[in-house]
Amino acid sequence: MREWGRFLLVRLAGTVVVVLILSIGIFSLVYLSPGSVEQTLLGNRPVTDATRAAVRAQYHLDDPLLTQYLRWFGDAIRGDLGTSIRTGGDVVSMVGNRLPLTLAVTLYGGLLAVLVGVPLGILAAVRRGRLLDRLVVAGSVAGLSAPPFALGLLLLMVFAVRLDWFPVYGSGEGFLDSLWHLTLPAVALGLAGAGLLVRFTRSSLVRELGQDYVTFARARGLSDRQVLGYAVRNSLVPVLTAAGLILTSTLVATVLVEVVFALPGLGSLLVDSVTFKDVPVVQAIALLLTVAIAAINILVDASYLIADPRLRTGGRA
Amino acid sequence: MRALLEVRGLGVTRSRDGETVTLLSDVDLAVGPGESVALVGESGSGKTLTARSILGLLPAGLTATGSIIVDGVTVDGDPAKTKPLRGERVALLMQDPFTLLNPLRRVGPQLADALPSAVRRNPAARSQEVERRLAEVGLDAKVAGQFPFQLSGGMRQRVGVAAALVRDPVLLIADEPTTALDVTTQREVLRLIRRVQADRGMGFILITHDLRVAFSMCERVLVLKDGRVVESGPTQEIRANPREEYTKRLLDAEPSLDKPLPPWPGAAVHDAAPALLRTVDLSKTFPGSASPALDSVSITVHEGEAVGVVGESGSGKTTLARCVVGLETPTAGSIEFAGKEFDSWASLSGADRRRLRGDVQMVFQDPYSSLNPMRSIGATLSEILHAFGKPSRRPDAEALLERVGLPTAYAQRRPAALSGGQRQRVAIARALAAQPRLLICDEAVSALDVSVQAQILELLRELRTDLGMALLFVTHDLAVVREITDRLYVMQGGRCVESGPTDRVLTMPEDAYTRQLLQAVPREDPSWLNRRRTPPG
Repeated sequence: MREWGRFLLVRLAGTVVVVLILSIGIFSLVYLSPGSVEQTLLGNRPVTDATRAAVRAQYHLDDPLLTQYLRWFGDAIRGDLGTSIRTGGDVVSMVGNRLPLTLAVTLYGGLLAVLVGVPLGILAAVRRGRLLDRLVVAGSVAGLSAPPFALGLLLLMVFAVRLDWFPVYGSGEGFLDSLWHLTLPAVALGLAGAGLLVRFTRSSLVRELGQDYVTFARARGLSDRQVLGYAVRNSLVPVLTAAGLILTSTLVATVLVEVVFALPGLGSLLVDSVTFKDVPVVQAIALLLTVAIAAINILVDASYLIADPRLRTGGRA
Repeated sequence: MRALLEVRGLGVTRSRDGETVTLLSDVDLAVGPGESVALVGESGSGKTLTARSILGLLPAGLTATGSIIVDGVTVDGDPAKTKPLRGERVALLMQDPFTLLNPLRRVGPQLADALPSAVRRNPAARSQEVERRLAEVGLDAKVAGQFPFQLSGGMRQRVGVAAALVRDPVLLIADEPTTALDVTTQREVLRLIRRVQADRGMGFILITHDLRVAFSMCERVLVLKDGRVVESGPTQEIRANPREEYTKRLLDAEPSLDKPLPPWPGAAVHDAAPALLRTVDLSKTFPGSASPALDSVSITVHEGEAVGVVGESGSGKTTLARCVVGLETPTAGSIEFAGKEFDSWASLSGADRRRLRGDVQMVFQDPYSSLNPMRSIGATLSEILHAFGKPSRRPDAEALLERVGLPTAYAQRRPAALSGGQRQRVAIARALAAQPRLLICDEAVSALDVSVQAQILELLRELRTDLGMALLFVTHDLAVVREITDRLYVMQGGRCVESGPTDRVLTMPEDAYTRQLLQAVPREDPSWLNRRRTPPG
């Protein structure tokens, strides 16, 4: 039992290091944007000697870089990410207002991917080599190769404009209305993930079904359901890996999909902020995504421990 | 007496692309209650197909024909008809204890999965029943809470036996149940199966490649070759008087501890020759492991000498070989090889390493995974010749093939087109390319059929005489070591417990563990299964 505690600690420490390194990159966005730092931070306000001096003082630009970084990072940890250049508002509350919608779309899309991808993958593996298997695999390739924003446009054309089944834009009010509004974006986001999950689930299950223990389970008279249960349970580790990948890529893909569906989420905030060179907001969103992706990876690692007892007890393979 | 199993005219065919290949034909077989029958044959003889047909578990694309009656029910190899009988009337125990159990399910639930649902849903009845089943195969109740990977091979196979018998079948088919186990464990598991069979009065079919095991376990024997029964009859008769040439050859090819050996010219004592390899107190502890895999082992191999290293799994024999050849870095001790003394290959200078590399070569156990499947045999051999700066044109590679008794045309082929024995010959040819002074064979004949094994041993003997190279032969098989080595080291738990001339060690063992190993080696005489085990230590 101590082995898996150590395993998680090591992963956690590694993740903290990665987040620290990335935070340095995010911090230096201020210096990497084109034009002088003062200009970037002043935005559309006139650049005069007076405003320039004010900005230098406000952002402590005369301090050594390391001090600046530590101050920025310390503030970030305490929940202060500065003020938006574009609106002058508090960055944390701006991001906080947009976050629930993005989270909802991401989770909805991820859930659709799992609910569609895993059962289809199981079905394909059980019927491998038959017509159904080939159809599912072909469908998954199509799903995998469609870029979410293009798929979003297609879905909008067909289901919102032509058939008028779903709204064209907006996020809706209340749970059911939101669900209705967010379905098309979630489908656009989840389809690629579903395709990936079909492939992972299918290949992993096909491998398990060929194992000796499956034949032995049949030979000692276990029911088909029990035998499939053995194999599905044991094919889980690669599927978990895929699910983690899908969740992170869905998070990133929301940026464009939110723009397509005109959803006021983090993605559209990011696009607006980049357009206006609103560096503090871009930094905040980048930092948030970094932490979220790191957290998802830790969760995936932890779920390995549940899925595979050999890791839990440090047993030999 | 009604037969539990009646098989008549069983055949198996494979249809692919409109072509039908017959894999098995005209197998007749009958087993009564309490009776035991052995199906003996080499790989590809159809013995496993026979078992799979009876259970309706043939791989996709294969069809069974003929009549199969299990305990009065006509199934004829139809999976749908066989399904309700599986586990219920007939059970199959499979070969590899390391893969036959669900790796991610604890032993208890895994056994309970086959219990009737009424018992399964009642926790008290379930754990009591699981405990009873474990006790029957000689396992402690606490095993129920363990995962298969926490158990040894022998314990896993005991769990396998218990799992196969959960629904109390009347017929048990065991497909090579002990091939993957050490000799001492093999004997324990075979005794267990025989005891359980007698207690329950079950019919029993043993599938094995080992005639000695078949003779000692079963009353009747069927010998299969290329999908046909070539000989069948009572054990006594076949043992005393095999009618078929093939059975005789199988019996002859089986290395044994009792058979007189043909004298061979290389058998002189090599103590006078200078030492080629000497390890001094070589130790290796793997990170995270509590006990050393190799614990102060000192061995010597003289020029031109054949030395055996014998032990069961976990004895450290393979670690020793891998340290000598540089695949592992020892944690303590030193190696003296070809006049150069060093702590490990990693500590050698590049020039020394290159010079010594060619002087010691290794042949691995599994000829299926030790050759690059994408390269032709010729390309593999040319590459290795080139690596050692030797002429590496086509005739040179072909000369190597001839050296190991393969047609030169095989240079064009890929490993997949070769049999296991042929691949092992290629692996030997590859090792010979560098003209080594020491050839290390790590279980090099263990994965091969007995007749092929005999041929490879013959080849090694010949090469040794012709090329004058020394041989370090690592194996678990005492009978094999007797055929090929002059001197012997016996290893147990990372230590060398006994050494000496092979003849002396095998006839007058001094160490208790060596005696125990010797007693566990299968013999044709069934008494080896019954004899009391010498207490260890």
